Amino acid sequence: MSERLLLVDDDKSLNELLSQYLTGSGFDVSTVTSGEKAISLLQQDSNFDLLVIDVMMPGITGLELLPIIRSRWNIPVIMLTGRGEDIDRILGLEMGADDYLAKPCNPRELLARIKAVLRRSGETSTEVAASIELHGICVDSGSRQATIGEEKLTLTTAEFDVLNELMKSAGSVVVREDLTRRVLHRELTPYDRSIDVHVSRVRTALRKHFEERDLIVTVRGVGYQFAK
Amino acid sequence: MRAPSSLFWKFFLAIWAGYVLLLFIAANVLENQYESRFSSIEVSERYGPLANYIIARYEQGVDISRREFRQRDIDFDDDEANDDLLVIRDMQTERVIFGNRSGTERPYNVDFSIVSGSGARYMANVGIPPNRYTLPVLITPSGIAAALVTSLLYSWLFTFVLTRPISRLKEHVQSLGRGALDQKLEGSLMRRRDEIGDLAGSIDEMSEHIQDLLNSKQRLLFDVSHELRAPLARMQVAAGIARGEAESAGANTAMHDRFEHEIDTLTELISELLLLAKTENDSAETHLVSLVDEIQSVIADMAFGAGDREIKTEFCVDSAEVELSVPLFGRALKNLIENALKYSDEEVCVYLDQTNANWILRVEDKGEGIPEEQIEAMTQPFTRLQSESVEGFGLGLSIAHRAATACGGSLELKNREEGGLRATLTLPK
Repeated sequence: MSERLLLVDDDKSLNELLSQYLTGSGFDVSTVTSGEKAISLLQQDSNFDLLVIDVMMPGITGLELLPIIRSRWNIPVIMLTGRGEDIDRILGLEMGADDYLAKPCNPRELLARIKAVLRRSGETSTEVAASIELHGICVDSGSRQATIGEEKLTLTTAEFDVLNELMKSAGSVVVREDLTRRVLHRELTPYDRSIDVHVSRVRTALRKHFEERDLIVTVRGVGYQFAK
Repeated sequence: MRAPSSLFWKFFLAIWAGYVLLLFIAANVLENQYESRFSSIEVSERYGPLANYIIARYEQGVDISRREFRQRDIDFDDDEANDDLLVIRDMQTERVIFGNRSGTERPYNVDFSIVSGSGARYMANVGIPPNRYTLPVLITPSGIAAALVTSLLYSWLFTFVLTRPISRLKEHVQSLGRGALDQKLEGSLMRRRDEIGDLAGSIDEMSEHIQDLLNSKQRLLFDVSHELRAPLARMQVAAGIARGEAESAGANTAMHDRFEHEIDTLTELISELLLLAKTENDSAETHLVSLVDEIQSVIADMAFGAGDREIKTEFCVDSAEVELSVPLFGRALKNLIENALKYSDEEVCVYLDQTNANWILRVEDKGEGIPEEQIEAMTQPFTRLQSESVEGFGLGLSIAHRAATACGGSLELKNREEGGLRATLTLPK
């Protein structure tokens, strides 16, 4: 059975074209033209493998839609951000999507990202169960749960993988390129800040428990390091 | 003191010179009048009877006693009726018959001649008592100084009142010229009902009009770029589908490559145009950040595009707290470094220095620099070097320039003596 995608974009003709393109690559594609319609569709049928959401939509914007979806359904999301938008602003919003892509984008790039995210969410069950514990943080790659003491950390798939990868290599620097490959299952491209967004969100989640110190250190120009 | 080039000094000197001139003319007129007041006719009318009385007594052979003189001379009670007030001389004998002025000099004295009943000629001389004239007060050195100082103060004050609204208008127009078009004139100027008030009103209207024009220009640029993105996104997908179909039919896809390349170029151009438009439209929200950290974070981002080339840094301080808009600053610095990397094959250096009021950030490359005649125009959109082989739309430096201005700073481009370009970004502390 082919994987089911839902495109949420107010540009109807673009939806049609993308749907045609992705159908050609073997996906079962549905499209809606607003955030409101996306929510009502998901309420009837939430059996989608991936959502592609445009940030800029009239009505409920992609930024507002994402937390709603996150709170109700466990479906991976790729956000299409406006090109010419400041990546820093997007970073500041820390949306918590599984990947980010600037629009207009090459459809091949979108296809590659969709495949990478799907591969990641599909492959988790096959991973060898192991758990790491450091500074009281326990990461269990079997149940895909991160806990601090009794408290569960709410992390997206990508964010969990970031924490898992960094803790596996605690004490040494994980290069950004490697982290992108290991977490997002794709190559790092110029001006691609997706991985930084994920790291930044993990950092925010940890900061609630470790107010006095940042466990994740940025090594400028190289990558990230988890404190040993 | 500044040369009298400004309106203030011109007005001040003109007004003061006018006052001084007026004072001296007035002094002259008063002095002339004063002297005419002591003309011989007037004086002879006043002192004639006294002189005649004295002469009559003299001819009778009676000596005039001081006391008698005093009793008669009720008019002169305020003056010490001294010997030197009135001096009478017999013209025949050249003898002084009354009074004595050997010891003192009176600055004003008037002669008149008297012919007595016996036909003898006498000459009377009256020294004008000092309290009878006030004019010489002005002509003494201290009087002149006092007059000069008061007129100076008055002219200064008058000029200040006159030129202050004008210089405030000038400052306002200057800041308009620097691009602060949304600035409003202060109420006190607008409330004036004179010509300056009218001028202030006109300037306000004008700046609003310019602001509207600029806004609509920016708006148009932004809207056009924004609206172009949707069809471009569709074109890109359509091209992808066409390629897929061509590939499955086994056709040549060289033209598809070309098609996609051109779409990518257009996409890039539109992204940069949007960025340019946004740089001027963005309301710059500022935060207190460490300048050194921000510079390093931009460089860390750039390092991916620099390949194995080094971006050298040299900072005069370890930490520089500064209030600025991070995205705008990042945009300015990123474009400068990008430009430096693009136009040279060697290392790029970033220096941070400071003056009392500013942070000075210099980005230097070792490329060929920019021909002097083109250097001014480089911050205009779509200005590119003609001999260039590198890709780009000529928007990078323009974005950097606008971002620097929006940060409250400035950008200056200069060729280095050692070769290459030096871009100096100045930010207020």
